[in-house]
Amino acid sequence: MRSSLAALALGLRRSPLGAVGALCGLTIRESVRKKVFVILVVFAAVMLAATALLPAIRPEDRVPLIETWAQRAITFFGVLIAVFLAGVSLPDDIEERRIFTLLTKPLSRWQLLAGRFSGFALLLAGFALAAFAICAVFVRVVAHRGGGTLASRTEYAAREIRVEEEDAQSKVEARSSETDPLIGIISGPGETVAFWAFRGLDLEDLPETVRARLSLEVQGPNMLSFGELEILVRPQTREVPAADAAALGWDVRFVSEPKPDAPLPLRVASRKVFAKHLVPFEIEIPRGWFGKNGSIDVAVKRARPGLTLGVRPASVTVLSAPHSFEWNFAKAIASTWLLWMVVLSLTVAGSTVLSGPVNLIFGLSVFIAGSMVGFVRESLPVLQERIAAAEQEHAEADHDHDHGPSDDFPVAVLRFSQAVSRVSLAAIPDLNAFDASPSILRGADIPASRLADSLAFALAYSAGALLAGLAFLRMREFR
Amino acid sequence: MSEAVIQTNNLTKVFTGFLGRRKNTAVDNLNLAVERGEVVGVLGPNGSGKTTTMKMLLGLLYPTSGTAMVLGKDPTHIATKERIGFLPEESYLYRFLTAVETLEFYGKLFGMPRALRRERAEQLLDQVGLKEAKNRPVREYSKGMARRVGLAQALINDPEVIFLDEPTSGLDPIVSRQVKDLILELKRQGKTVFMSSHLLADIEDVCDRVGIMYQGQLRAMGSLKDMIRIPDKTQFLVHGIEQEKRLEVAQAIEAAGGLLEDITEPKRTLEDLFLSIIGKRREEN
Repeated sequence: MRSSLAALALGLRRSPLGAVGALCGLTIRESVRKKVFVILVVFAAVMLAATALLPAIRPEDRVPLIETWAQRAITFFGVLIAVFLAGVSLPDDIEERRIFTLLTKPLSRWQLLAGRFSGFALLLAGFALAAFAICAVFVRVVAHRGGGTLASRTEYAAREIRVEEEDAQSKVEARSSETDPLIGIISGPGETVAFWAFRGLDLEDLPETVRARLSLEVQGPNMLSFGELEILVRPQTREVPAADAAALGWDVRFVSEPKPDAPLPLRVASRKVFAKHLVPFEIEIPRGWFGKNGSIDVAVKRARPGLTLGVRPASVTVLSAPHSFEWNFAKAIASTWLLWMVVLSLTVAGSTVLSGPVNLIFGLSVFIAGSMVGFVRESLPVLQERIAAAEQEHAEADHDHDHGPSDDFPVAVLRFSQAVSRVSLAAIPDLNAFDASPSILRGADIPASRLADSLAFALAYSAGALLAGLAFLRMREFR
Repeated sequence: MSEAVIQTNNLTKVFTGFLGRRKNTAVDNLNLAVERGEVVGVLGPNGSGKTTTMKMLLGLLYPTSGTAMVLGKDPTHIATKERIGFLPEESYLYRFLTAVETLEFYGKLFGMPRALRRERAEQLLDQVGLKEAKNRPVREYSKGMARRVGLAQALINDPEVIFLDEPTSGLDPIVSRQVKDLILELKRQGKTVFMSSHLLADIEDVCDRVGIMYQGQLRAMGSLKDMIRIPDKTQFLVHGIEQEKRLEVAQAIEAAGGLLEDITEPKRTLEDLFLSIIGKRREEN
């Protein structure tokens, strides 16, 4: 066993990975001995410690606030480490001419790049692990002292959403955007109901009293951003103990006379709530009301006419039993590490052609631009509408021979802006996709599928960036 | 037939400026062959193409035309790099590493096992006189000490071919002499050494063959002894002849058909004088 391990170690040392490992080790050693690393770590520690001073409106909000603050601080300082250390590493080797010695050793250029990248990737992994450990302990202490509960819950989305018009007086319009594929806007005096049909939920993952979270767009009369709603739940079982329902504030009634041949009696549990615009609130549903196949229907209708209700597929979610906080926070940190990998790969790739200071600016620009890609994506449909409007205005002006000044930019400028936005969307990574703080803030599980998507994106993007960097490095000569 | 371990055929390097303008031919159709076990030096003023040639032989620069081969392979080939050592013009080192860590790192790049790396690093540091300072960060080293670490890293893999770019540049005469002694030791071990310098004494002290480059072209190449020998002239180095007897010797030379140009006392080099004074002082201490 020992001899085979020794043979494996020797094989690795002699393999191309041996040189990558050597450079990886050098990178870590170099980084931790640099003043800038120590300064960044100290600042990060101060930022994390500052979470102790965070004010919270409610004691139970303290934990998610601390988690979010910590996660954002970790993200920011990780990016600074990625940019300030990785951004100058290769340029320093070139400018200080150590590259002469390195490249005359049995070290390919791809190994040089891979060694540097993997060194910083491991350094950041160490930073993330340390930050995670400190934060996890700190948050647990705060929670223990009454700052909130430590748990995360899976948010189950509805399999189907539909808006049923109960009368002809309601007005329902569907709107979609890049970020929200469907937004139903319900207005008018009618009694239109929006349904969320949940199917196939894992009953074992649901607590005795299941919580459903609602976050709705509510627009009252006179631009008030709140209003009264009626929440309806259709139990999927025959037995609905009245005491259970009453204890949770539900009023259960038969919608119509029960029929002996019907699979289930048509009963509806309802309760009224006062909802604020996009402020999440939770309702409790007995697990016994769920069907055996894990199904339940939740509906929302306006309690008073004159209220405008905006609904989306994610407006109502069913929450699982509490899961481990640490595991969820670890997923958030893992997602942050993937974000760093994207920034790091671009910075390392940039370092093959750019000088140190220019590469620092490049790395920071990538982070800033990548954090704003969401705005660009959302602005594209608006830009398209402006172009259409401007073209129509132009056509009408041609027809009327009236070429007065337009309120908007010329069409050519708008089209140029559209082209730049599209190129930016294609080239700049969307770093918001890695931001897990919204989930953390509402105590929701970060879905494994989301982490897998982030991993696939980070892998593809980093590989592409590093290959581009390698192409530049292979062409480069060292005078 | 002896083996050429370094060979160039019509090797040319043209540097172009921004957008391909302003062309500068740094090396022009260079044909060179260095055989195994030779110590070959290239002399030339600054900008003559010495370092550019060396960088092409090391794969740091790509030839514009022609070929460069080291140990029968392209210089960028990993198998070639495993068998060569290089000391750049200045020792560009990682300042945060100690001398031992520096050599360990470069040893790792060669895939050397830990025990061998340690042993080789200790041996080389002893050889270059840095045994006492081996655990100090390189940033605390003087230029001469850093140069010695540079030399040690060039030899970490016990290379067959060693490239030395201005090996004694910036060194005091003692270290300079040690470096030259080391080059001679490498020659005795059968290593091939290719060095460039603008210090004529360095080349003269250690090289078997010398090339003289100017404006990118190899203007002369040959055995050092042959090149510096002045044909038709004979020099006698005589010990113990008295002043009054010198005239008789001069007359004898003229009688033999020779033309006596000068009678002088031989001088030692300033380097020899310096080394003897310092050496004596050290012995006294």
